[in-house]
Amino acid sequence: MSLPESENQGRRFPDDADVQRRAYRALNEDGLVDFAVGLGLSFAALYIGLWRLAGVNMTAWSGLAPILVMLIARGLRRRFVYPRIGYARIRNASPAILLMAALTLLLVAGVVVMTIYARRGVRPPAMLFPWLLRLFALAGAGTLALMGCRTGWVRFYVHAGVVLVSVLASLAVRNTSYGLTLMLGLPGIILLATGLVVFGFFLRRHPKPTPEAMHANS
Amino acid sequence: MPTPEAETRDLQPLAEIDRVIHEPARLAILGVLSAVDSADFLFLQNQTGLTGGNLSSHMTRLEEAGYVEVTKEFVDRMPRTLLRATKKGRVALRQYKKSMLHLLKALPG
Repeated sequence: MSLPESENQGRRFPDDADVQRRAYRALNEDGLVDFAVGLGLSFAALYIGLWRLAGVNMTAWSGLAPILVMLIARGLRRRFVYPRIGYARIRNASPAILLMAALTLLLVAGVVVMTIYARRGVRPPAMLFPWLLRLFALAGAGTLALMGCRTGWVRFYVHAGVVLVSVLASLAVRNTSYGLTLMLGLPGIILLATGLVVFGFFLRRHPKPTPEAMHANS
Repeated sequence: MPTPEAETRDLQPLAEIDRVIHEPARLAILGVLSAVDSADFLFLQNQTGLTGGNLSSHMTRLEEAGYVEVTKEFVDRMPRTLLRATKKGRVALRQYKKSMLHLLKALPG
């Protein structure tokens, strides 16, 4: 006896990839990754802008920025996200994703090395800096695209596209400092704003839990 | 055309299926736990759609079978009760999936 056709359609065991994707999706529903990355990029743009354009050296403070971003994101997660949707620790990235990430970096590094070689000589460190930043931004775009693949959230692909466009735009701008500030600041503001909007929607979709629900989880 | 005796022989492994995992709620719980490293009660509840009481009783059953372990840890300086699938649980789930797929293929019709 077989199942009627209507019941049989699409019936299959959810495999590990499906279940894992649902978990990743739930854990990235809050928009805090977008917010944290956007905040980090905005800090970086501020640092470059103040240093290159206004002559204000923020190097002493630059190490604080990543720590600050991490503390803010963790604090928001602990205060608003975990009490609403719970907590899960994701398993290590699959080998395929790690390989994709490594290949993306190698590809970008190869382009940079070829560019240097094509100009027949090693650039002084000061001129390598913009290229290193662009390399970093491209690696970031690759990571965002991978997050889109892992979670199924389309917005990560859009963010990757925005970073890519901003890198290309920075090449078109004559003044390197303006170009770098644009390259970091534009996606920074967009990701920051997106993160805040998504976080707002998340809070509306998942109301504050009752004391009983919180007690059950302790 | 297969004989009734042959069809019965093909479906005999169904009687030996792991009944701890065979229950849909427990299958869902173990499925989620096998995809993550660990998760708390609320996360499992949201992912499986089970009520608190239901989830609790199924978790106890899985723990008794040795498929799930419960640990208390500090996460971001907050105490948290975390649930994770044991190695025995992951192996049992893999075996269950293999057996069920084999059985479904052997179903007559």
